[in-house]
Amino acid sequence: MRIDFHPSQPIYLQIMDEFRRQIATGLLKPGDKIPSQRDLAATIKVNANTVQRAYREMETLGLVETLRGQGTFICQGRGIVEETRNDMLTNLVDDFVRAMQALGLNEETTLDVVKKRFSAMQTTEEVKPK
Amino acid sequence: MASFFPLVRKDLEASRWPVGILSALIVGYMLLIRFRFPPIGLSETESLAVALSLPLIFLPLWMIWQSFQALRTEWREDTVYTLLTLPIPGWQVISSKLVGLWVEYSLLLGVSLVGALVIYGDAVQSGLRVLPSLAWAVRNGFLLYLFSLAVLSAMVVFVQLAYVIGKMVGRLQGLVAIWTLFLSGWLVDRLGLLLEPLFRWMPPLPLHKLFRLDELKQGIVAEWNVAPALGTWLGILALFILTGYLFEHYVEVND
Amino acid sequence: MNGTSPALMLRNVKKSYPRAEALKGIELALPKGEIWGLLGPNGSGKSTLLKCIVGLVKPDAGEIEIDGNPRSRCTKGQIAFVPEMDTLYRWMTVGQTLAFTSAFYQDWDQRRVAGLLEFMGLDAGQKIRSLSKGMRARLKLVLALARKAPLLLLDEPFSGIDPASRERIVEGIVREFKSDEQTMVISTHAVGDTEQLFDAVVFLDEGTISLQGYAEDLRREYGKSINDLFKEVFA
Repeated sequence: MRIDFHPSQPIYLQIMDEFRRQIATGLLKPGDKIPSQRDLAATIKVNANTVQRAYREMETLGLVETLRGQGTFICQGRGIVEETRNDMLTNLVDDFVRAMQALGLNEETTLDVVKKRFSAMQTTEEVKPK
Repeated sequence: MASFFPLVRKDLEASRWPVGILSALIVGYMLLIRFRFPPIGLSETESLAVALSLPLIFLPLWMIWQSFQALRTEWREDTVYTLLTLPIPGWQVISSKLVGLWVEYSLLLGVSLVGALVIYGDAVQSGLRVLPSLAWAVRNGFLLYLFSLAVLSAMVVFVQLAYVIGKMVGRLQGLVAIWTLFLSGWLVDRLGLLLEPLFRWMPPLPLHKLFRLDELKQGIVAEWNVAPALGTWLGILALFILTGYLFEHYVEVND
Repeated sequence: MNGTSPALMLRNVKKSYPRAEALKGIELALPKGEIWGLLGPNGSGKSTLLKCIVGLVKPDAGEIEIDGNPRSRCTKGQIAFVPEMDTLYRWMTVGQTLAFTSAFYQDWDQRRVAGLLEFMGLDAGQKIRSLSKGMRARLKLVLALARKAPLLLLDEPFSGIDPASRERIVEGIVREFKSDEQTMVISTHAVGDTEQLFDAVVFLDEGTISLQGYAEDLRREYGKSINDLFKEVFA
């Protein structure tokens, strides 16, 4: 696992975000084992207490569960992937909408821009391989 | 106490180069005097005296230098940080250096004597013939050795105290150290005279019995009035304890 | 061990030198199990403060308590101090250095030594004299981490060494620090990418504490990294 930190924000939140991202994109699946706190701390070179805090928060949120003597796992079922995806989606879109509003765009123009960008990017994607 | 031996060992290992080189120099000097440049007009026995006297005069000076050096290198190489960080009493540090110096002194003395014995075999034997017996010579030699160790220890105590006090002041460390050396010498001397009445009950030490001088010549009487010396030696012991205390509680590293 | 007392307590610690006042009344209490960063530019008093805690420097005033006990010969046995300078005996080998140090500390854990040496890329037969500055810095850390010392004090462990050694040292600290039984103070004048190590930081400015707090709280409060905050405070 690699995390590029923005040290201007709390690090434990960024660790949690990284796990959320991996769950949402399917890199981590329900039931998967995640690294022990000590191992993760050593890999990403972050204070073990900070990693512990991230894990504790994720447990409280029901994202992961720690089984005594076995390790920490992504929680099974109950649509955890869906939930995390939705959470991330909502956050991303919220940020986007706020940014558009700040630029003075309304719903209609925003959607228009989005559509245009989608088709523009699709064209480049199609052109690229050649 | 388990930490004492490693300290002594460290000091011995640290000084093995100078000791090795000096041993080689002593033996080399003796070989030169014996075979290459024999003093003109001197008998073999007189040549032996020349060959032995230089190392034996030089040795005490060397030991004073080494007792100073043993502390100075710790500061110069910043290893005093390590020493002052260790959870050990200060007296262990300075007494381990004292024991290290004992060993170094004994080795160099041994090299000089064994070297003389090997290089001047015949002359030594004829010299010994003057003495009552080999056993007498060995016994007295050992007693003199013990006595010289005591004198060496006293010198080391003075040098260590002077060095440690020098390190406790910010500036003029050398000057302070030299003054401490003189002052502490004067102090223990005064202390000897001051405490003399306390020890007057002590009988004088019969040196002629201790060294069995009657075997050399009948009727020699040599006695040592130990009363004034006892106070001095107590003073030296006190200075030793003081040095250990200062090392542990007052010495700082340079910032 | 006293469960309730802080790992380290400083009350009004002062130290003056003929040239300058190095520490002007430091007050600090470090809870157990945390890594604290002691941050400040060169000459701000960081090193003097750490030396006062070990006993290499005697404060003029104030009290220092280690796990509730006033500083003494005994507390030296509870502290693992990693000085900035080269304080190892140069004629020794790595193995001799380890053997020498182990003789003085009851908390020395010989079982950890081999693993630590391997992790740091050190060999017991190497002469200290022949090691690079970075390798010597690694060895100094091994000497501290091979013990189960309740209090570790690291004075500028990252300064002036090669990036590879720096990385090893950072990883070694994270990997070996036992937050259930140890507390650590790391002084540095260049925060850089090491800020992720710290639970909390103290900014030391000309002998006084100008800012202190938990790293995550400070990031949230100021919206800045500790590194940026450091640059701002000491600009």
